[in-house]
Amino acid sequence: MDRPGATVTRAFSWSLPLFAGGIFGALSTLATIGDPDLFWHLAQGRQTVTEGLARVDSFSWSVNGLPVLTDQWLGQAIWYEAYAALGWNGIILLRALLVAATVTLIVAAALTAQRRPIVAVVAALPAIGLSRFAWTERPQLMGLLCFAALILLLRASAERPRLLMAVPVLIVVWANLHASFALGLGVTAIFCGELWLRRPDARALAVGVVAVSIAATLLTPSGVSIWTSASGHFLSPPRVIQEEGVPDVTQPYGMVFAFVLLAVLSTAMLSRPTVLRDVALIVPVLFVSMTAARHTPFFAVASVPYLAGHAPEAISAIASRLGINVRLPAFAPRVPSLRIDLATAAIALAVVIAAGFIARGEPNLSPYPSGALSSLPPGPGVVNDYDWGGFLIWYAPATPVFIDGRLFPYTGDALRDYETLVSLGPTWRDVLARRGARALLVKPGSPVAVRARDLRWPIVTESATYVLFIVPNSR
Amino acid sequence: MASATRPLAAILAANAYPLSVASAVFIIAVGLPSADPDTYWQVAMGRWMLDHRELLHQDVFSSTVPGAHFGIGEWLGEIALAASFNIAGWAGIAVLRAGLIAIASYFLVRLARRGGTPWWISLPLIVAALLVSKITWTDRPQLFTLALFPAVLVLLFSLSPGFSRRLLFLPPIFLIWSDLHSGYPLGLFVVAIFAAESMLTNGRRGLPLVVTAIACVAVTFLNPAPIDFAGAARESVLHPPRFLVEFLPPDVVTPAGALFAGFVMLVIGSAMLRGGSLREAMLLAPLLYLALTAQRHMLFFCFAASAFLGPRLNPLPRWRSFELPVPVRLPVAIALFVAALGSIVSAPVRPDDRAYPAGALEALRADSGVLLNEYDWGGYLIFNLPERPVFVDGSYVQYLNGVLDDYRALVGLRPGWQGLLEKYTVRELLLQPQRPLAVALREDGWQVRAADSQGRWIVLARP
Repeated sequence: MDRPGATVTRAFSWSLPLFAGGIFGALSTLATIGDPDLFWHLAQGRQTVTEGLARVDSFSWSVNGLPVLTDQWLGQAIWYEAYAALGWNGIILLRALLVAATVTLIVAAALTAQRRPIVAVVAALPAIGLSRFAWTERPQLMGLLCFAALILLLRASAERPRLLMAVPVLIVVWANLHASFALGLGVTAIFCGELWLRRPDARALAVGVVAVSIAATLLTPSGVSIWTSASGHFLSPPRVIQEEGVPDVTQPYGMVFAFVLLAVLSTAMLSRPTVLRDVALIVPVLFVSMTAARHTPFFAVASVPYLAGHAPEAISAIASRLGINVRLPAFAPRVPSLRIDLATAAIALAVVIAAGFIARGEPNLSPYPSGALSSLPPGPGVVNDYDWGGFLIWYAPATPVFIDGRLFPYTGDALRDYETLVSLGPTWRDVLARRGARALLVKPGSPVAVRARDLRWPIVTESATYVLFIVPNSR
Repeated sequence: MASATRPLAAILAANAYPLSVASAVFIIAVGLPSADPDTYWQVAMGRWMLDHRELLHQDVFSSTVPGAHFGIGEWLGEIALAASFNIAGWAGIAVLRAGLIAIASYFLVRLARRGGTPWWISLPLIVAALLVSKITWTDRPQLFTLALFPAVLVLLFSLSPGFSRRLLFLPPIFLIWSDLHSGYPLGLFVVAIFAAESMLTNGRRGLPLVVTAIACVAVTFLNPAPIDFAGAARESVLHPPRFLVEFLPPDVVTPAGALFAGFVMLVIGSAMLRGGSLREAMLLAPLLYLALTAQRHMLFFCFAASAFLGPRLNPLPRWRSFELPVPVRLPVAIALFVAALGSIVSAPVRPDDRAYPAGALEALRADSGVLLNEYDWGGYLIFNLPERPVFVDGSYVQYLNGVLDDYRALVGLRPGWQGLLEKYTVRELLLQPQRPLAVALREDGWQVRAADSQGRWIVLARP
C-alpha cells in the first residue's frame, strides 16, 4: 500500500539511501574539478582561515578596499580546509561526500512517501540527475545539501511537529554556508503556515520556529546584510552569467527540469488529490526554480516525495486507459536491522573516500590562461576576462584582478567599464586611460582582442585560449 | 417575430460577457501604434504579391541572398496585412490587429467560462492570459494564430462524443490557417490530442474526431508549400533562434513571465489539491513544454489552462449567484461594442518609428553600394527604402546559410571581420554607434555620413 503521508519511523531503513548515496558519491569523483568560482572561493577561505574574515576586497585593483560579501565564509573555509588537508583530492573528496549526503537525503525523502524501494529510487533519479549540474566545488553544493535535509525534515515533521525545532539549527548553519538559506526560510515559513492552519495545537510551535529561524539568519558575520546577496540573486539575477540565465529546456539540464515539471503536472492531474502541505512544499519552490538555471535542482528535490507517492497511481491511470494491466507487487516490509544500516553506511563511506583518493586530483585548467602566468606583470593594471578572475586570484596572487566571479563587488562602475572594454564600446580607450590599464588578458575572439591585434598592440604571449597584450603608452 | 427575437436575445445575453471583454480589448488594441520591426517586411512582401499577382518564392529585398528560395509561409497573412494597409494605411493594420485580438479575447472568455465559472473568477484569469499574450500583439500573421487557437479550442471543448456537425468546421479552418501562419501545426496537434483522448475515453465514438483530425492534416497539404510551413514550425520549436527576444525562454522576473509562472503554479497547485483529467494532462503537458521553449509560446498554455482553471477554482457555490443580471449585462455589452466601433477612428495613422533610423533615410537614399544594416532595422529599410537592398532582416530563415553568422561576426568584430567586409563589398553601414564594428571603423577613418543626435544610429561610409 502507498503511504504518501508516512514519516520516518523505526520501520524506516537508511540502507537504500546510503547505498544510493555511496554510488553517486563515488561516481561524482569521475568529474574533474575546475569550476571558475572554485579558485576565488578557495582564496577567500584561505584568507578567512589564516588572516580572519576579510570584509573588504584585497584581490582586485578595480574595487580594492571596497566592501565584499561574507555570506559564504563557512563554506569557503570548509572547502579550503579540505584543500589544505589533502590537496586537490581533498576538494574531490569533499565534493563526493556532499553529493553522497545529498543523494542519501533525496532517496530517504522518497522513501518517506513510497516504501517500495525501486519506485522510490526511480522517483528520485530525475532529481539526482538534475542535481548533477550543481555538483560544483562551491558552497552552493552545501546549500543543496541543506535544502535536501530541510525537505526530509519538513516531511518527517508533518506528523511529529516537534521535529521542526531542528529547523532553526539547520538554518543557522545554512546561512553561514550559502545564500540559498533564504529559500529554506521561505519554505519553512510556508510549511509552518500550513501547520498553523491544520493543527491548532501546534500554532505556537509553528510561529516560534519561523521566528527563531528568522533570527538565526542574523547569526552570521554579515548580520542583516546577509540578505543582500540572497535578494540580489532572486530579484535581479545577473543574466549575463550562464547559470543565472533563464532555464532553457533545449539544454540537457533544462530537459531534465522540464521532465520533472511535466511529471509533477501529469501526476497532479491523474492521481488522487493530495494534502495542502505537499502543495506548500512544491509550488513555491517551483517559482524559485524558474527564476534561474542554477535553481532548477531545488524543484526537482522538493518534488521527489510527491512523485514517489503519487506517480505510480498516475501511471496506472494511463495504463488502464490503454488497456494495459499494471499492478505493483504488494509490498512486504522487511526492514533491515540497524546493524545493516550501519554496515551500509560504513561501506558507502569507505567507497566514497577510496574513490576520492583514487580520483585524478589535478584541476582541469585547459579553459584558463595557464601559459600566461609567468608573463603577467605584477601589480595592478591587468584587465582580465571575467571567467579567469578566480583562476588568477589563486594562481597569480601578485597580479590583482580587474574583475572575477564574485560579481557583486564589481556591480556599478567596474562592471560597466569591463563591459565597455571587452565589447569595444565607444569609450573603450577612455576607460583604458582612466583606469590606467597596462595589459589585457582576454580571449582571442573578444572584440577588444581583435581590435588590439588590428592595431598591432604588442603581444606578450598567446594561445588558442588566451592572448596577453601590452597596452601601448601605458604608465 | 417573437420566436425569432427570443433566441436572439438569449444568444446576446449568453454572449454579453465575451462580447464585452472583446470590445474592451479591441478599444485598447486599436489605439496601439504599429512598432514591430517585422511588420514592415511582412507588409512589403504582401504588397509585392498583390502588385505582381503571384506568390513570392524568392528573395527580392536583400543584397546578400538575392534570388534565394525561401518558404512562402504566411502568404495569405501577409496579403491580409498588405490589403489592410492599402485600404486604410497604418490605421487599417491597427484595425486588423485589434479585430484579431478581440476575436482571441472572445474565445478566451468562452474558455474561461467553461463549467459556469463566475465572472469574478474567470475575469482575472482572462486578464492575466491576455497580458501574457501581449508579447504577440504585433502586426504579423501570428495574430491569426492568436485568434484561431482559442477558437479551435472552444470548438473542440464543445464537441460531444460521436459525430457532430461542428466537426465539419475544422477542416476549412485549417485550410485557411495553414495559409495564414505557420502556427497551424499547433492547432493540428491540439486536434490530435482531443482525438486521441476521445478514442481512449469513448472508444469507437471517438472515431469521427479521429477522421476529422486526419482530414485537417490532409487539407493543410493544399497550401502552396506545406513542407516549408511544417519545417519552419519544427525549427522554431526544436531550435528556437535565441538571438530573438521573443524566442528566449520565459523569464519569470518579468511581468509577463511572472503571470505565466502564476498560471503554471495555479494549474499544478490546484490539480494537486483537486485533481484533474486525462484530457487536461494530455493537453497542458505538451503546451507547457512548448511554453518553456520560448516566451512567445507562453500564451497557448495560459489560454488552454484557463479552460480548466475556471471550473477548478470555483469552490464557493454560494457565491455563484453574484452575477450581473441580464438587464445590466446586455446594455453594457452593447455599449462597449458600439464604443469599440467608434474607437476605430482613434486608430493611429502612423507607426511608432522611434526605434528606427528614420533620420538616416535621406542620407542612404543615394545608392552607394552594399549597405550593412542593423538586423532589427532590415524590415524598416525594406519598407521605407526599397531602392537599397538590405544585408539582413527579420525574415531570418533565408540568412541561415551563413549570412547571419557573418553578420554577427562583422558587427561583433570577431576574428576575420575585415575579410568579411571585403567579401560582401560593404560600402556603407547603418548600425548602432556602440557596435564594435562601428567603433573600429570610425577609428579607421570611415566617414560619418549621418548620426542620430541621441546616439541611436550612425551611417558610416567607406573612405
